[in-house]
Amino acid sequence: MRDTTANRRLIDWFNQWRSPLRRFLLRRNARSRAEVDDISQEVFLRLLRYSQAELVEHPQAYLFKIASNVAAEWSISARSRRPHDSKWLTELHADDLPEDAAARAKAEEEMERAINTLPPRQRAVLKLQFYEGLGYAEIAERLGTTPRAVKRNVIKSYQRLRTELNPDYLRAGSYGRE
Amino acid sequence: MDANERRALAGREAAEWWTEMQAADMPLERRKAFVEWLRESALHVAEMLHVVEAHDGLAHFKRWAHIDTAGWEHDQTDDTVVELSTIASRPSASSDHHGTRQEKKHWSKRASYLAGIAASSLLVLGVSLWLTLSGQTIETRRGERLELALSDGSVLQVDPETRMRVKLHDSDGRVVILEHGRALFRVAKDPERPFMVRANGTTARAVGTSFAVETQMQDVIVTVAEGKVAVSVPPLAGSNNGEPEIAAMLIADQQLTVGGSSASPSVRKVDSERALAWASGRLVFEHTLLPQVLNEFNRYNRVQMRVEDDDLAERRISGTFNASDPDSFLAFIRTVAHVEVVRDDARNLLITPGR
Repeated sequence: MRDTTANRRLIDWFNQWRSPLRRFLLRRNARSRAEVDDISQEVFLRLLRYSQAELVEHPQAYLFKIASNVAAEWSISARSRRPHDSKWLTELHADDLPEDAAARAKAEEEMERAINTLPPRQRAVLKLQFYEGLGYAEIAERLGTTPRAVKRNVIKSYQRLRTELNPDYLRAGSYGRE
Repeated sequence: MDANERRALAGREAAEWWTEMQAADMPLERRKAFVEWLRESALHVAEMLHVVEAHDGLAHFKRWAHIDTAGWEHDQTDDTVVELSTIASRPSASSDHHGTRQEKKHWSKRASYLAGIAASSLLVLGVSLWLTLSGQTIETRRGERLELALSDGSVLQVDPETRMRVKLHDSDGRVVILEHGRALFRVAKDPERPFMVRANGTTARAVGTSFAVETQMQDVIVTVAEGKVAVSVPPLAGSNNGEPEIAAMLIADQQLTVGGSSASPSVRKVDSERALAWASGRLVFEHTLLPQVLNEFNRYNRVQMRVEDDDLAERRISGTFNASDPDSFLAFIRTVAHVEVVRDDARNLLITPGR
């Protein structure tokens, strides 16, 4: 899957979005699910302003781009509200935040805990996808099932992770460099 | 549908979109559908970003080598569930098979097609139809369960071997005609348009509530989990008054049986969670004869179980079981009775007295 252009492009778009969003979330310093929701509300409103014809060209790119714009704008305004916060100065120049080993370990732990709540088959699918870098078709072959069934497993596992993961830990840790 | 359910539904759809865009470049038609979906609600945008966040976590996870996947060969849990959702049911949803153009109209056919190919015993088809669903026929077969989100926000849980017609834009309001079988209705509030379920002439009418209607031979059984439901029955033969008569106003945890076997409808108090366990895929038995228990399991599964021994057929079973997991039932019966399970072929099991 990592070899498909679709996936590569998606990852590019997604990377554009990730850093500003993370910076925003971290700087807000109160990390709750509500914050992605706040951003989403604004992203949603902006999406409505675009024409359908424009959006359908690369909807994922628009989504991530708008989200990153919103996150970036909001973190700038958050910054200007507390200009004497010593932290923001260093962050302003850094593309990414310095690694916090403890936070990263915590995030790994949280991720591991959440993954282990999944049924074995879903764990196997995710491991093949993310550890071995296989696409759905290859995973299906490996597990002796259909790509459709693999997709279903992936969908199920994302749904589970959505409720299982504590985003506080996750975000704190995944800020480090690639 | 309450906020949590809406969120869960949006989360599932977001995960579906994410997997679809991971697998391939989306054709124009799919990109349009995605844009429409995103612009439907901020919740969709939020859930999409949450999925991406989870993906990010997985992509940066470093300890995959420590993740134990032992036992995946025996883990059939996921294979037993076929999610056919908004996305999957829209045309050209996936390239896994052909002939998807007609599927919006004929998705119940497609559901049976899936029933045929699914490796599993039970199908839960999560289908969301956001467009008008006027006069759609919904039909499930043996071994199929269906979860439907209607465009008005109501959610239907349809049991196996059920047939109904749904008219969301009927002049009377939202109308479901239950021809046979049973379904749980979680009705989205809309005071302007009452939600009515008709079965054998009996009408259960609700504004925003959660209730089930079931037909059993000539009887119609209405069970209320939440809110209030007015049940009306057909006028008695020979009565001058052609108007249906209100039989009862039911509240939560009440059940009413109308029809052939009971002369006059009577309201019973029930534990609705228990009485409606089937809607969440659980079977509850209380001192039930084994053949009846097997019959219930067989309705939900492709694997069909039977007993031929007369003594065994007299055994009574009590307990709560996962409808889609006949294996755990077999494990249970092995502990309470001296039995053996003989497999005729992949789909037929015979329970015999142990030697």
